[in-house]
Amino acid sequence: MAHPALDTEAQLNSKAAMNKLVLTVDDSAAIREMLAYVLKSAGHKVVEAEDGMDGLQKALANAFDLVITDQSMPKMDGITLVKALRALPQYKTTPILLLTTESSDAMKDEGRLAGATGWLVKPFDPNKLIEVVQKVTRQRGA
Amino acid sequence: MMQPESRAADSAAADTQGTIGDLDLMGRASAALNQQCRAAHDELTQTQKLLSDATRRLLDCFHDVQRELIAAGATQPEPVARSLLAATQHMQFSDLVGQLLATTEQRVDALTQMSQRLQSLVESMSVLRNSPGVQSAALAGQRRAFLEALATLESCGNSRVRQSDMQAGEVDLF
Repeated sequence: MAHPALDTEAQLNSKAAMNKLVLTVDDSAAIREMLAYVLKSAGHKVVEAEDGMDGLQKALANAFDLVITDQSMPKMDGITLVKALRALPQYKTTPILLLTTESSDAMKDEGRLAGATGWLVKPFDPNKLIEVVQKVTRQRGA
Repeated sequence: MMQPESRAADSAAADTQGTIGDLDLMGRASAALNQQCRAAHDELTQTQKLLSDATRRLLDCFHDVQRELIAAGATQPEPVARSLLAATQHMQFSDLVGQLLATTEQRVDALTQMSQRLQSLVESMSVLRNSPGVQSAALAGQRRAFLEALATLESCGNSRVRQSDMQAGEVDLF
């Protein structure tokens, strides 16, 4: 639930893009919980998954407006998840952001070719994340 | 009890007098390397556990404060809310540090394996030196195992974590 005391300028600006259903995929509980806190404080609903396989199963069971996924995870990595989601008709145009410690150009190219919408290097800036979420969900009409 | 520095000085003195054979020196060096690698592995495991436990408690405290803030309504000072939001960036470093530790742990494990194989190889070489009639097949096997462990060590990659300060990472929209 959004709280007035938690509103920042970026969060206030994001009101127009509120109530998106976001899937976050990361094997780190700290990252998942921080993502959930920031996204919920901006008015979004969040479903968490612990790895790519868990993420794919949850994506099949729900219609998410945005997916934010780590790259390096057990069972299924982020780029494989992006490819699997892009193969599904319902996720052809859904924004998918990779949030990872990886910052090499080669890996970014791999992510872009897989169909990712953007690449964010950890740690994310909470205000910047909200801006990016607002931008990509608005651009894709999610 | 003799201090490590003292032992090292004694070893150096003995070496200059030629009383320690090359194989004995290598055996002692590989045993010391193996012992230190095991100790480093244990310390890294302990560090991982402490980091994990501390992170869990910090996250729980973070959520407690968040609940208190919501319960108190709009009277909470904005700086507190801003600090909480800023904390979400800093808390992510537990994941980054955990990844760095995991990479170091893999490197130490490869070093441990290599030092164990080196120790076994040196022991086989010593046996062969003292009993020239003994078959050298065992030695060839130890040599092969050592080279495999060495190749694993050489293939250890660098960590993906490049962050060296508390700054947020870059954003690249395609």
